[in-house]
Amino acid sequence: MTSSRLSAGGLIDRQTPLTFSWNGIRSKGFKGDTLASALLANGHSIIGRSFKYHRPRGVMSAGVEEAGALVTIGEGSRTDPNVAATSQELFDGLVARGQNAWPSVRWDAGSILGLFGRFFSAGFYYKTFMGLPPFESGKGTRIWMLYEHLIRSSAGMGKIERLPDADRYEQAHLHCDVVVVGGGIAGINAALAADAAGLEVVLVEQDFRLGGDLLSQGKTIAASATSLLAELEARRVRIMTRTTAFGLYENCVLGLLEKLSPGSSEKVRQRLWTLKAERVILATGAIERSIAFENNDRPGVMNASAGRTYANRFGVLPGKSLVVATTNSTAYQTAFDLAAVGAEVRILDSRQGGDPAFLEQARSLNIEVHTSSAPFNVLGKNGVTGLDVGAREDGSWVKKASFSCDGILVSGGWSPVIHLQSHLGPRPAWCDNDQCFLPLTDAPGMIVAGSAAGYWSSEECAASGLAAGEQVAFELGKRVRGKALPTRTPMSTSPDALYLVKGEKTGKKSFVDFLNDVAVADVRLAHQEGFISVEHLKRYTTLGMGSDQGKMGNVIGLATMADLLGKGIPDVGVTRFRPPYTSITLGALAGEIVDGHFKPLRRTPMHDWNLSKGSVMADAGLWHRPWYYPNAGETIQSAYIREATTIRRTVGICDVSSLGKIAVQGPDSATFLDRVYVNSVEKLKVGKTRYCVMLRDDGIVLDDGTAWRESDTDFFVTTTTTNAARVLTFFEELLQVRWPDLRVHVTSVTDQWGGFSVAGPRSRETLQCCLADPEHISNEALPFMGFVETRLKSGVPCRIARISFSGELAYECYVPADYGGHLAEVLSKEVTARDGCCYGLEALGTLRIEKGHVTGAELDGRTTLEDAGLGGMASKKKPFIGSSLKERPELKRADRPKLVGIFPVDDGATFNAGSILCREGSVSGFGEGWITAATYSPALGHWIGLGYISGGYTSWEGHDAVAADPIRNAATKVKIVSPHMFDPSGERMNG
Amino acid sequence: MANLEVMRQSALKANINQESSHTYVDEGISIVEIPNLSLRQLVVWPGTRAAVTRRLVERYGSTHGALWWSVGSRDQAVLRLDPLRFWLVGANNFEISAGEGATLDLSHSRSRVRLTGDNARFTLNRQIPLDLRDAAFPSGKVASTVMHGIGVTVWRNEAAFDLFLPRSFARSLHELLR
Repeated sequence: MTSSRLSAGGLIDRQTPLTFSWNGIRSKGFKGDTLASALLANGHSIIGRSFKYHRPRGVMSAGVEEAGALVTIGEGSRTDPNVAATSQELFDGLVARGQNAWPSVRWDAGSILGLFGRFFSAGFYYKTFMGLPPFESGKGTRIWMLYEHLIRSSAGMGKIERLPDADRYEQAHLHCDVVVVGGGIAGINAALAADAAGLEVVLVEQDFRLGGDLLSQGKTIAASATSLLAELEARRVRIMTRTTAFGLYENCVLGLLEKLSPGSSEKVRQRLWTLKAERVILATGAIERSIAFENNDRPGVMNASAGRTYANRFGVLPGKSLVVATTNSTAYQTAFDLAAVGAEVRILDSRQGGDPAFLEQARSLNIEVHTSSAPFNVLGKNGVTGLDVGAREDGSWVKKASFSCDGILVSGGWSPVIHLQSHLGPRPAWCDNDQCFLPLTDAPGMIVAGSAAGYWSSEECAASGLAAGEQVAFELGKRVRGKALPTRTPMSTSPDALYLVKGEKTGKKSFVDFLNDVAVADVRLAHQEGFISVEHLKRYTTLGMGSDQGKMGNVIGLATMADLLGKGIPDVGVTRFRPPYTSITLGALAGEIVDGHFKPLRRTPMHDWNLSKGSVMADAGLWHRPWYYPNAGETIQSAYIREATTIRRTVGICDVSSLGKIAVQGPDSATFLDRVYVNSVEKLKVGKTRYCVMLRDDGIVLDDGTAWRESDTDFFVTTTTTNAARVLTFFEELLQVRWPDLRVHVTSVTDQWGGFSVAGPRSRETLQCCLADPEHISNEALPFMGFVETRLKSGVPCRIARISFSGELAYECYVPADYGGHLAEVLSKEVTARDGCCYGLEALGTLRIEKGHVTGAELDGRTTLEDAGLGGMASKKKPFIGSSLKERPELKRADRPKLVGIFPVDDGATFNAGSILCREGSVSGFGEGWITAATYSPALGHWIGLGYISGGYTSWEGHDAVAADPIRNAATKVKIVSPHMFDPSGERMNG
Repeated sequence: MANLEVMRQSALKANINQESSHTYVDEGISIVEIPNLSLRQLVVWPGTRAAVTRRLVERYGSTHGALWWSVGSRDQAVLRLDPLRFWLVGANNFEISAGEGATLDLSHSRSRVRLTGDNARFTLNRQIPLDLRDAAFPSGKVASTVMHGIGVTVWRNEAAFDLFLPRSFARSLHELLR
């Protein structure tokens, strides 16, 4: 192909030249160009390499259906592969390069694969699963291990960069009365009509310019398009160019991908919209099909309408000597337009008599027309040098002549773009006269207009658009006539049903689906091997899969299979198109939800204060909680040992704001909690707290926490951090579904309060120094499991409960969250004065393991009250959630694993959490139990653990066990002891 | 005794400090925290709903307390969040007996952020899926919705959109808004 820029014409802005780079070579284009038109204007013919065979490919279309000119744009962290050059707007500084080729798309070593093409036919990779015949036939996958590496390294198109994407993306929601998809003549008229009726209209167009096919129709029509666009711009219609509607979903929801600010690295690159409309008008146009003939993918072969677009819209002549090969009348205008700008043009019309009206016009323009003729075989490898022309003979095609030419423009008929409609389910109907699938019915809330509905002339498209706009206005209650869409006029001269120029087999490839390198031979093979259902055909050959979604090859593939089966196309069926209509970048799908915002971060009121104290933070669900506070040079081990030791010696504070907190309010609150918790709450006195456990319906422990009675009707309930939302949801379910008669409301107050645990022998005096009235928490005023509402010295209100998780004299002190930082400062000052410290989750874990207190590691959804050593808490005087099913025999078995403490036999030895506990000499299977938590115990001076083992520690008296960690190949001899490993009598809690 | 209002520390303090002001202003959008939120929840029982609702809205000169609607001004208002649940925004002091319902202070549980400007709707719609057009979400309208999977409350008063963000998530969500 010897394409070139015309000296005049087109809708490009010749006053605004742009510079871009193609394969490292600086080239020039104009504002209004696509990358494809600029490449053609610069005489580039080979733009890409095919997916499987690495065949050279040029520009094949002028739209999103492009399967040849797929390129990589951008550099480094802004690299974007597999971009269709035909829909990439040219901008100053654009960097583009060929892909899927080495060293370049012009000279690609991978093209050697074409010599072995017969081995890469449909389903070849499935067959590699079967082994290498005859040695491994039927034996399986050993050879696949080799194939897989080769196939994966050579398959695919462009390569993604491993660098983080430097571009910014956004997502947004949009609402309107009517969305019109397609900015051609039908879409514009639909938008104008809906707007005139007073509706809020969004008009979506994938091109960077409105007008659709009008832009390709030459000077006269372009002028009328200008006036139409001027009228549109004067209205309130929201026009979204560079925006592709990639999916249509239930209830008139559309997915839109908007490309923004081309060439700018500062702004948002793409925005993914979720648009909800009351009505959808699809005016998505139609795509011209190709025909399958030998070497129909050579650079220089393109759709006829694309040739016209390049000439009329972009001022680019696709070739000097062109053959227009068609099965219908629409391509004649392309031939006339190209002849008018200086190309030497011949027409091949496969129809026997052609179209008399156009034949006459062609003669008047001295254009040679060959009827009953079709392209048979393209001559030339890296470009078109000529064409063998075929003639029909006994139902087959034979070569009858050859022409020299440098470009071939093909029209195999038109396929309405019904992809979006197909996303919602209605299957299209085959129109024999027009040789295409048409939308059969409109889905609820949706109307199809223009050529997407089979209106072929500009006048009909405009009228159908207007009618569609008025119809939706009528449906939405506007005062318009609401006229029905005009009756569609089928094509006056029916296209020839020619999809495959079938001749004697030559071994040359006739492509059906250019993007997936699916040739006619592949469809034949699928037929031979029994994959005759269209769904099987699609998956076996990859016909119409991926980003093509049947745009180019679907109908040709169906026609080929229909021919093989001796059926008509509608009898073979049609596959369903799926979203997305065109490719979407992963960046747009992620939007802003990346990096630090991949998940929302939950901060306690003391978050910044914790960081200022040097805390290393740990994820706890969505929370960031202090893990440990290392001094200079400390490791996590030395830090947590120091922190735990300090607490047992003097005092420490730990941010416990993340604990779940629920306000339970109402006259029946006590009754409600009595039904929920295993232990009694009804008789809990005001000003007292109680450690409580709740079960699931099946008798397994759900969560534990505390209930603080504020008044006869109000409780403050705490949960574990992990189960806060789950417990609240469970409460809501109980109140709304099972016990709606109870007058109880539950509200999460987790965010209302920020708090510290103050633990250690000097915790009381530490806290007292912070209070306006220290006597409020004296031993007498605030005994163990009591709570009090009081104030800090500053007047800040606080609530304090004397509760211990560490086994030390300890308190939990909460203030309204905005005062969390203040509480941290005043407590910290007093803690420091007593040589105390802050402590994090690691030390917290050590302290509770020493005491045998359970957490989520032990209450893991498999544990009963008895398993966890909490059986004594269950009331025998009242029913509660889970009270019946916890009595199941399986849950009462004596040999169930029960909570135990674990010591190493050798004091210097360690073991890992997650290890299985086995009998000595019998390390196998699941063992006899498992270790849930392990730590170094500063109080005991050696490694300790918590876990479960069958029968509990009394069954293991006198027997050692082995803590086996098969993954790390470790085994430690251990003693099974009571879980209450430190201060079992609990004297330290009394201070 | 210290001035307790002054001692309150906003959950958005770190974000605001980066901008040296309480306001984030960009093309057509202003995002301002309304500090020192006063927010009281009022819940009623099915049998007391009608009487309490009537008494409540009469204080603001209104006669109806529709679901997902508010009465009052942007400084003092009642927001109805579900059939039995109200939020009293501003310095509200509404007495209720235990037999009628219950009240709960939630002033520290939320950060109140106000969005104004031509791009306020778009900025919000980048995060929440509600139809915020004037006809669908007029002044006075209240809604519970999700932002990045987190439950938030949106309140339209006049041209402004007030967002009530859970305090622990406020900084993270505020960053997404900008």
